[in-house]
Amino acid sequence: MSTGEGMDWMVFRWEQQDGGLALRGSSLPAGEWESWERQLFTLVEVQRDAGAASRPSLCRLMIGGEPVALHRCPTPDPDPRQRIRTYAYKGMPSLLGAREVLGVVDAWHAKVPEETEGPPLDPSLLLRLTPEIQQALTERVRGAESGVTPTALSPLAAGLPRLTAEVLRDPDAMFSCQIAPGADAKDIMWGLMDLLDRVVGTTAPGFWEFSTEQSEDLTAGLPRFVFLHEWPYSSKQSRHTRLDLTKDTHFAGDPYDEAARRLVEAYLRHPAEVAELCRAAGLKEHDQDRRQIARLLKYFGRHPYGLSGTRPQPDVPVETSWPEGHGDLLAPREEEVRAPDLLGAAPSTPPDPSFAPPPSFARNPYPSPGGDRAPEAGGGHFPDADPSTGSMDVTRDFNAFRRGRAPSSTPPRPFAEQDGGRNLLESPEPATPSPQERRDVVREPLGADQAFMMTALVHSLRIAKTGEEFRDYLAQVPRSAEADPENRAVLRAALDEYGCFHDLFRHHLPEDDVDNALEQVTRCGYYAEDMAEDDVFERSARLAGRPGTPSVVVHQLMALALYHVPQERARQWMDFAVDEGNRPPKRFRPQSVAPPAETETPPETSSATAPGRRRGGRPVKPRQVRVPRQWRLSLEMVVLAVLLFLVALAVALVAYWLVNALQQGAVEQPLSLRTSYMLYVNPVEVTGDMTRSAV
Amino acid sequence: MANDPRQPVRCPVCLDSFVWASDGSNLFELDPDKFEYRPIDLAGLRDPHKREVRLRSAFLLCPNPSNDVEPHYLPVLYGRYRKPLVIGLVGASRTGKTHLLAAMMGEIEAGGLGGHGLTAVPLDMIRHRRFYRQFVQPLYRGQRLGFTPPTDLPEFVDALVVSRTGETGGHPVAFFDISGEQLAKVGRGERFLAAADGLIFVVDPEQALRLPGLAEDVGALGDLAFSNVLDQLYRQETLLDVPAVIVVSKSDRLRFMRPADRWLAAATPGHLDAELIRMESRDVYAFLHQHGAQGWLLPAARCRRATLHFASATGGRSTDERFPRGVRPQRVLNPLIAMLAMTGVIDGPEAKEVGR
Repeated sequence: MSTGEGMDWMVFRWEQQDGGLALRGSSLPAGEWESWERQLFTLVEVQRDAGAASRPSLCRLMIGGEPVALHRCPTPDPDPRQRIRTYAYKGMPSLLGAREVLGVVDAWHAKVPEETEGPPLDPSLLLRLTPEIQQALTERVRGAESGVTPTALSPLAAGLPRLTAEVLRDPDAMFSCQIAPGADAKDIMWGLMDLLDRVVGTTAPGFWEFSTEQSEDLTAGLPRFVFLHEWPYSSKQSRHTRLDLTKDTHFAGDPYDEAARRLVEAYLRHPAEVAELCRAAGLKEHDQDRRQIARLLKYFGRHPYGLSGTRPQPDVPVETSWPEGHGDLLAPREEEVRAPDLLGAAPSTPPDPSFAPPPSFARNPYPSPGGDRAPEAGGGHFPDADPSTGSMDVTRDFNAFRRGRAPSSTPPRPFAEQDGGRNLLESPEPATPSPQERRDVVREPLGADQAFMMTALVHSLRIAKTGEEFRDYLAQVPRSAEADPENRAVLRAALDEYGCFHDLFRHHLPEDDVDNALEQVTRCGYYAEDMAEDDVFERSARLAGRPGTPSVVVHQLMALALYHVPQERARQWMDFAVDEGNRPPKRFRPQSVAPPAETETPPETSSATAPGRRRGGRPVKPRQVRVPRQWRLSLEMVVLAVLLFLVALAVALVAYWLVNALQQGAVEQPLSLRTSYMLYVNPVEVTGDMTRSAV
Repeated sequence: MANDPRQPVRCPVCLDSFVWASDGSNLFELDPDKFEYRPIDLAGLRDPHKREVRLRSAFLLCPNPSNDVEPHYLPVLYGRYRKPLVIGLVGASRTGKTHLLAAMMGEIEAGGLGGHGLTAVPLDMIRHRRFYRQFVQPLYRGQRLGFTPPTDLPEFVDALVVSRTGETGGHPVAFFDISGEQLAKVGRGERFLAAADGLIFVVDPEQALRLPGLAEDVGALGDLAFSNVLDQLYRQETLLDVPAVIVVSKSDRLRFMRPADRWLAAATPGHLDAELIRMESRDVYAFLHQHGAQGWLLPAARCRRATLHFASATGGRSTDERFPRGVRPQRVLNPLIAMLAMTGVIDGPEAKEVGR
């Protein structure tokens, strides 16, 4: 019970003579000491490895409906027990908000008296959370220097996007986060609130409970967010969802990842943009978490960011139910729910080749405004959707994956691949389209959602005649890039060759979508896992450093390099980029927005270097001039006509010469020929002459 | 010889007894990355050797018939051998419990039990390696171990399967190391006592003995943790059937005092000698009594079988968080040998005389 006169304080210390660690001083009445000691006992100190340095840490949790803040403030004493000094504060909820605890509580201990007992702290003497302090903490998380817009979060907040995505995915969960050695849980927590405190926890004052350092996540009553450097080994299962924030894991097509990424990018541009985004998404000041998240995701779906969002809906009506005879294909399958039998030879039913789900939705993470007729739409993407109406493929599989507590690698493949697609057991490699299929890429842009050879796709992109056709080909790029690393290599080469398709995008896409398209295509070409390869690493740097590369591509590549490679390599990356920038400008292969001829070779086989230009130190042959096919056709016809004309002329000349020669008797003709000719010229004379001969 | 399947096993976490059996549905394995349990299915594993290998690292979901504790998992091997033993270390804060246990494990790792004809292998490899990495290695590298904070979930920190060399089977032996503060408070952390088969009471001479050069303000009432634990075990019988071992830790501080000097310098025989243990117990008892530590002798008075020992986990004092002259554990396995004899892991006529 609070005294109601100020901020109540408690001090925990270790003393040899009196039972070790215990509550040693407080402003609370003596009768309450034992109760509070019992409630806070296991939170006062964390276990550290031998020789590990003690660090200050903060904890906020709700006890009996009121907030309590703990500040673990170790002294410099060499004895690990004598070092323990923990302050606890309670009694004034308005001063113990989550931001206040993170921002200023660690400065209050200077006001706590040394005596065993004392009055509550006067609130007017305590440091308050001012806008300047808040801004400083926010800038620290953003890694912003004065007047410069950061391109990436501070390393202190490493893992923040992942944590944001997971909170959006399951706002009711508790999280136990293993953070990287260089990261600071205080910054991660502050950044998380900057991003999400308008989205989740708007109705629950106790939502933002945290402990910035904890040695275990097993005890009941721990805060919602706990940060530790190593998960404990125990006979018990933690109730917290364990997140390894040392690994920057992304799930392709995951709407929560995408939403978190967009929030972070808005945050990097300006912290106020997050609030603007939430306002634009129609988030209410106080509402249920899942409804708020649904609104946010819906907003992102309606204001597409990536290619998947811009994909137009097909004109043909979409089926409202799955074909009969296949049961509820979206329901969790037995093999998903059951534990995987690693060695067993469980028979599996082969997929019905006649059935394929509607292709254009198979990997679309956002519902389109017109897509409510789709079986997986109708709010199925959103956490508060009625599960009976069907659930979103990626989300559903991901949730099943989490329920199964399988190792965090990649989420299960969508059903489009699992059931209706190819049999993965036949060949681990993605199916290579046959020549007929390649032609189908051109002929039928809304074909089955499958991976195509990137060479064909790039080629199709370049010959697309309409914006709609262009977008359809573009929509196949992510899938194809994901399916095969070789496809990504081709795409990278194409990005180099064609100036990141910038002109094509500007020609075919609305102005607003160009940057998004550029960014998405860049992401398709450069996966984080690819950056481990030296040539990809260097190529990305050189592309970013090349004059004329669109800034959004540079930004994307830079973020990739800063997030996914070690710090020392990031410096090397910058060196490559600067080196490329100092080179003479490369002339990109011209991208004619008019459809090029079909005979043009795909990018990986074409040599698009300008004449005389050296690549890799080797001279390149001058490029041969090729004639378009239809032009060549016309030329042949002209030549043929000329030839025919010449032949006709020659025949006429020969005939004329013969006639003249025969008439003049210059040529002794054989009888038959002569007779034939005479019959032709003068049949009466010939006939008489022949009669005479017979007589 | 495997444990009798009809013989119930007591879970050291929830304290429920249940028959150790599995139809396969309650078997789990540990995700080594996140330390989370996930189910495994051994039904398709026909080869007995492969099955045994998988079972060695598998865990059984405790049925917890009382349904009063959150789901928890025990190593499958825990119930597949002979009767498991739970040994707890008891003592106030800073008495040296963690150092003593780490030194014991280090000596076992170095083959210290081999001289007594015993073999010890880890019951749970991951747990053992973790304990080794966090406690044993730092100690043997001369680092002082950290503070053991209170926790709401006391559980064994390491476990071994101890068997006689050349025989099959063995006894799983699990060790509990709990914060001294927690043991001194009623209702916190002593839950494991209901499953305890043996208790090692650790006496810090600096806190217990009225001697020049040691602590000046020595209490006369003994260790609150000792009495708290013994009171919890009281079940109307005058003498408790839980074997007790009292260890005067940090005995290197007493190395110039009789009789500690003689025992610290004495070689440990390669066989169990009940008479030698009795003589040492007699000397320790007299030593503690003589220097005003009668309160710390409570376990010897309350338990039917008890032995007393001098031991030093480190062989010297620490300076600035380190042991500058290195760590030389002295007589740390003797208390464990006595405990194994009193709990039946070591049997024979000589073992029956230990602690009486």
